Amino acid sequence: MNDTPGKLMPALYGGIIMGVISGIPFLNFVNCLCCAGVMFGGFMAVFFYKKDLKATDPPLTNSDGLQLGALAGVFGAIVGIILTLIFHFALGGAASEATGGMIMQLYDSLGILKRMPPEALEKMQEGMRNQAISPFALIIGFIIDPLFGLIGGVIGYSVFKSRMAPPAPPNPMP
Amino acid sequence: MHYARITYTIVALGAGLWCALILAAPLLATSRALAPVADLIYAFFRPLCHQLMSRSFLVAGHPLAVCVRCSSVYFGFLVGTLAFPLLRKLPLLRAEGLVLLGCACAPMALDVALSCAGLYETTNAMRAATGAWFGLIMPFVFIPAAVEGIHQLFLIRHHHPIQ
Repeated sequence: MNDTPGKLMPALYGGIIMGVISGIPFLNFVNCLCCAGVMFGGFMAVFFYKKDLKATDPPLTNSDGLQLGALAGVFGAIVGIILTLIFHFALGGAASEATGGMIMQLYDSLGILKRMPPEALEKMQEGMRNQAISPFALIIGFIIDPLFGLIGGVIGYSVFKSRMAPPAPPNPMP
Repeated sequence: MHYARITYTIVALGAGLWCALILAAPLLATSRALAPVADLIYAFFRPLCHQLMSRSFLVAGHPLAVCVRCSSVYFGFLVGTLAFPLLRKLPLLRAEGLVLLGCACAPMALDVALSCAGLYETTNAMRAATGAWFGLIMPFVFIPAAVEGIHQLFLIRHHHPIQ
């Protein structure tokens, strides 16, 4: 009997990617593009799972994508919270300012800063100054990350599925 | 059990609730008593969107909970979801998921890339159009995938539990 590889480790790797993107100040602006960072974590979880699949294993299925994406979202929320707390309590404002300074420098060298509307720049600087963490914001991660991780998992399945996918259910719609 | 029907209903209700929240924020903000609820909704969507005033649709003088591009994506997704049972048999919309995904993403990705590269200045109308296009097509990728995934999940759950 062929056993599929475990889903926990690929989901954890995807969750770590998701959490790092969401938890590091300024890098988390990637999520302003329809939660791209969160979806990328779900997508990568499917990639890591697919990498572990052997030729003799059953092919990747859509349900694998859903499970991996949602699970990566849960891990991503936990990793994101841990990183946010580390940045907030252990390293304080200095780390956030240093990261912010680096990203600002990168934006400046790429010419993005000049094209950025003053309102956006102000919002970024406000984010750098305002270091408060609300429990509400941390809880939101547990709703948003599994939801968008799941979408990333479905996209990952669409990309990584083999050509010989199992047949679809006979009546796919109402 | 009709997994397809249940999955579709959950997706449609979820999209409806999501859009209702986006629309409710500016409407609630107009009332002094309900303004804290509006603040809560704005806070909920803050990790998802930059919420810049100049890049948001205004309702009753207040911005929607997300920007022009995001709200177009979400409202487009809702419209696409509602239209899904009527349009799903169109040959164009029955293409491979990856092809549809590419078609959905291409205009928005091009708009963002060209704008970031400084080759042209995008407008709110362009953000809305490319976002809505993406949102309208996404249900035709997501719903069949979700239906198939849920079907497989219930079919094989006893044989292949999460390890």
